[in-house]
Amino acid sequence: MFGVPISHVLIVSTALFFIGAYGFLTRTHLIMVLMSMELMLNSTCLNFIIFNKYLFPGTQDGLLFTLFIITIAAAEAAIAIAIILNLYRNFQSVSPEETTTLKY
Amino acid sequence: MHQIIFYTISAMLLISGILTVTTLKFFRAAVYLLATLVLTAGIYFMMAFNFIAIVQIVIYVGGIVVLILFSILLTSTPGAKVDKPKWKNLLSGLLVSLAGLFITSYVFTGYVFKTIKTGPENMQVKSIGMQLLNIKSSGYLLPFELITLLLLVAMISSITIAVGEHKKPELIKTAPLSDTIDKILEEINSENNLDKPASEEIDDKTALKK
Repeated sequence: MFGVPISHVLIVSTALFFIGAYGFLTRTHLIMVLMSMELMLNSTCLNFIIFNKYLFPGTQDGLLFTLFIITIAAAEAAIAIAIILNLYRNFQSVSPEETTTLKY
Repeated sequence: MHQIIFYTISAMLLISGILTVTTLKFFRAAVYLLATLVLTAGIYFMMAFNFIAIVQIVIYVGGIVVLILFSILLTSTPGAKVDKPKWKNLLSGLLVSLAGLFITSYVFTGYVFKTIKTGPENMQVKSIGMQLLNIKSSGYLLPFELITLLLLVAMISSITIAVGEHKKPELIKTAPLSDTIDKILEEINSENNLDKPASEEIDDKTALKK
């Protein structure tokens, strides 16, 4: 059918997840951190779809979980952007290094 | 043929993902993120998951990326650059991601998956909906209801966070109509009172002149 072994597809999704993790650890702007998180969630969705396709064809459980993950990602992005806008109003910057009111 | 298309798509996917987390400009990062999400939808299309590919394009590309672009526009000037990451963060990020990648791929390449080969099945949207709203075996009604609650809570809380503490309490209080009419009448009266002394002064001045 698809002609590609499962390990190659899994390597793609794993690489995408750790690219997102790298961005999450190194970015200096909160919106960029949010984008890295979207990448990680996206690779998780891809993983669910891959296992549904290769190991359990004929069922739809992975697909439904992907739907739930996409919904949660949308809700999380909306709340995170509201928080970022509020931070920008209070601190005039959205760098995680400069918003240090809750530190110590 | 399928293999060539798949390897091309996944190479472009990884390149645009790497560019998303390494570019220093906001708009470019958002556009690379958009490319990554669309290419992921392409992989879903190749695996014959048409419904989830359409959902991915509609919600991720049409919703989340546009939201991120709006927030970028609201919090920074166009063409602005992000600061470069510190050496310490860069080193730890590289270490964590490369070690995680190698360990995870080592684990699952050593495992033999029992893949089942079937022909391309055409998945009906009706059966997805039936399973989503089913309370019997392998039904997903409870998570579905929880997700609807979560969306409601997210909507309310994001509105509260983004708006809150900026409206002054005096603006929220609305006086009844009779009070405002009384205030207007008082103002008119006070204006008249102010006019009277002014006219008296003028009268005094004219009297002095006389």
